Amino acid sequence: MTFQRPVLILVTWGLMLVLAGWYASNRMVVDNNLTSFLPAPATAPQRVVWQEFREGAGSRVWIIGLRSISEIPDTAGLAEVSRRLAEHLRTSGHFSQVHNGAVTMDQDLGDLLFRYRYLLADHAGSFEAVALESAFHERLIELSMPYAPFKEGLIASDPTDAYLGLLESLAELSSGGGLSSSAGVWIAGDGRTAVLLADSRHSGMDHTAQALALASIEGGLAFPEFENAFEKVLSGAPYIALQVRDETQETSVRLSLVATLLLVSLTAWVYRSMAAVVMIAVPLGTALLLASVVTALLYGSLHVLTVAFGVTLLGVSMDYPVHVLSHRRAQERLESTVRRIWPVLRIGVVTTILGFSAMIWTDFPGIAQLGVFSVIGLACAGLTTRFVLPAIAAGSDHPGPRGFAKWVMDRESLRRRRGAIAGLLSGLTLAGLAYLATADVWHDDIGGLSPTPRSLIVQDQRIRQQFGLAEPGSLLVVRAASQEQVLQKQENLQAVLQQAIDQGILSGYRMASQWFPSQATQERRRAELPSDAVLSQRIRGAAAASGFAEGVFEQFRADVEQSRKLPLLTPPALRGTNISGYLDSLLFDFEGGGAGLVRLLGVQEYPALREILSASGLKDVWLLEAREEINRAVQQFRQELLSRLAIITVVVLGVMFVMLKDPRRVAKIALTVAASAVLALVFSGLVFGSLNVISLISVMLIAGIGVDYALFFTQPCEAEGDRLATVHALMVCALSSLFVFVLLGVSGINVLQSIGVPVSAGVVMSFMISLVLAGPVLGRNHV
Amino acid sequence: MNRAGHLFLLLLIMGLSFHVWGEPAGQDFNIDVLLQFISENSAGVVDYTEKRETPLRDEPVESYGQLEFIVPDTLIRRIESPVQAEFTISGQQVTILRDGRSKSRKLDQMPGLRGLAESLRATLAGDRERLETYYELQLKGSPEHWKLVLTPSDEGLEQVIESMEISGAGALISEVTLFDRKGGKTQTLFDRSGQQPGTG
Repeated sequence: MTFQRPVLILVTWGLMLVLAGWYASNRMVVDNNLTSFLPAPATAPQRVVWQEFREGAGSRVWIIGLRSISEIPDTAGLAEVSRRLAEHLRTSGHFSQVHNGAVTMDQDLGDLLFRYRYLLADHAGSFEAVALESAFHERLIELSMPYAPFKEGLIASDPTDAYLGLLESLAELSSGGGLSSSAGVWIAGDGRTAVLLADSRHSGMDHTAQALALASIEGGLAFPEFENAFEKVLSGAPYIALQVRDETQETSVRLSLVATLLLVSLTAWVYRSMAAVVMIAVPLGTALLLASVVTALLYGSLHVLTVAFGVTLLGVSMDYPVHVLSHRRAQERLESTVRRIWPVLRIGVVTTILGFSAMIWTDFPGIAQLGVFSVIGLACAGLTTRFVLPAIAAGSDHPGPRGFAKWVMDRESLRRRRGAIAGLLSGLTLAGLAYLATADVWHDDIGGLSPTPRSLIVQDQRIRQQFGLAEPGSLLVVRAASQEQVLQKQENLQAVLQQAIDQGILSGYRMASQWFPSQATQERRRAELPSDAVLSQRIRGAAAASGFAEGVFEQFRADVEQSRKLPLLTPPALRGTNISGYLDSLLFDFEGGGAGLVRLLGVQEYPALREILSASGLKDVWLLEAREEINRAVQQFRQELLSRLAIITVVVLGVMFVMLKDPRRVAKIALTVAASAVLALVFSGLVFGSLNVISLISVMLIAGIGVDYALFFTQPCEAEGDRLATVHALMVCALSSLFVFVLLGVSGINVLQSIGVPVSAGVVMSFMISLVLAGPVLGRNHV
Repeated sequence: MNRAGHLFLLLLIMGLSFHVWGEPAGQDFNIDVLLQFISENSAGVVDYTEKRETPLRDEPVESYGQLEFIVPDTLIRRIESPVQAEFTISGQQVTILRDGRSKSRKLDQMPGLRGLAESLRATLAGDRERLETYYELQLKGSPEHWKLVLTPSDEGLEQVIESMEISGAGALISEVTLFDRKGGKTQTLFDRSGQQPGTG
């Protein structure tokens, strides 16, 4: 027994929809990884920075500002709310650390550092007899200083000041940048905002955990003393990620709803039939669902921007069913209409798919995903139109009224002035090309690609500036086979950087090895501690010479002896203390080995610094400016995409030539696409003031649309009714695409706006240009 | 009158005299009056000598120098012996100058020390509120011979300092004695012959 072909198609189609629907509603994960829209890191230092960006300690930090509503600074009040929130957050379990003032020494950390003072602090030479005597003498002098009562307690156990030196370098390293402490808490430069930094226990991209963290912060501020006199200001990577997710999801849903509503109204009005609406919805729905599911299966999750991008797919793939509906002759079976226009429609589908495939083979995970999504979506829409539509709409229906298409066709003036309009368009296109080639419009700033709304980025920068938390601009990346070897390498680097400081090239630096020495160094220091007998003798001599009482330094002697037996300290020993987060942000695992970041302060001359570093002969130490590095990668990607586009263009032209076997027609189509793309880019450049990689992706969308319009407009056809149908179909296509892309253009999300604006312009241009070039459709006066 | 009567009389006289002696001379000699009195006359330079008794040494450690107060909140201590050094507390900033090098710190970063710095500065400035942020105050004696006892209430301070006694006559501070928790004691005498706070 055999099934009829339509039944087989319907069963297959229905089964796929059911499976995809089940997956989409039960299994599909939508992610919001900000680094998806970074180009894939090409070099090792880029990989280190990318990893830090994505999952580093910095990506977990909440920045919390508590600002008093009143203009009058109330330091005591600020300190009180800051302490209260910090206490709440510390006990909430959501944060590994909460800082609301300069790093305070908790008892455990203090004890640990004190016990390990002779391994952690550099004691080279300080146990020599002369050095001890001079240290003791200095301690004696300090007994005359105003702080003597505080110092005296440490003299007996730490007469060489090893512990204090350690604390001092730690305080300097972990100071809150431009934040000043008042009444023990950080206060921003405005004097009325207390600042807290809270490190989440979970990844900044773990939205569920971060939503709980946010709730905890809000809960910690729900007391009347705060609510009456203060307001909160939030920022930091986890907060931004949450906001982006919420906003992008909200925008996507809103866009989809509005777009659907508009498209349904448009088709219902144009075709005066709900059946027509259903026939358009079927390929679109199938395309969106299958493209989402297949993409999610391929990538493990679907990026939130891909979801939003799905809307653009509506704008292009809607054309396929529209052509079928508009081209339908009176009393014609749908199957026949589809078969009749399929040869032309097929070229449009194939060339558009080819265009989008350029995005797939890129090193830009987010953009590759958009490419995969589009290609699958377009293919599904095309196939559904070709095979499923005829199967579900077996009966015949009459095409709707075509009054407005007839109106366009009857414009005598348009026909008469074709030559003039074509000349004007050519001139404009050439001028546009010149503008794109010469003007400084191409910008490779990553900001344009970020799914983060510009307003949030600006707010974060403002808050960081106000709070004195500005990210240091430049870094050294140090990589080695293990964290221990990173520390060793950093210890060698210290002399090099000191040399740079002495030459005025650099004002300072922060790195892990400055206060957390490698095990090799700890071992050496331990071995260099004097034996008990030697030390006892030296202490006796130095104490007598400086006038300290007998036996005062007994604790010191015992502690040094104890230090000679201490096991070496490793970074995990600091876990859970106040400074572990600080250490984690500077020293971490990387690709099976270790990597460290050195934050450079006040770099004056990069070339000179590069020179000193390369002269040092240290391997796997790279100087980089994070932002510059990212922008460079974006620029490389733009050039790569541009060359891919060139190749794809040649391929598409070849395919069209083979399928159409009409060079003249192919030339017209190419001209339409080229002119529309150039003019749309110019328009977009004028609107935004700059163009970026996303503009190039828009070109592909424009090309897909332009090829479609030009194909149909240049199709040879004699019957008046068919010509009318073509104009009608293309008008509906253009209007529906315009709706969708204008919606994107005003969406408020960078990436979508960068697509919406040029493609809207491209739709208008493609329609007008192909109409003007369309000899056969307008009849008479062949060009 | 028997012995018991004498004794009673003696007690009565002593009690009376104690009562007379204990009563402020002016109608209302109290902390506010004293602090205001001090602050009105506190600007200027005074010589000091200091003696610190410490369990670390058999002999006390001695030093001397000058103390200068500049209205409203700058206190400078210039140490001349055993080494040359200068400590300036101005606003929230401490600056230490020694061997030609200067180091600055925020008072906030030094819990405990902050309170110690305020003991004399807030007294000279007559700022009772600030003084009471760190200490409980107790006034003894008369305007001619008073003693202001400062007992730390600040956590960081309390761990190190037992108490502090500032004594003087009229608007002049003549002596500050600091008792450490661990048995140390610092006695600072202000030289009456030179210029000093209260005369400037």
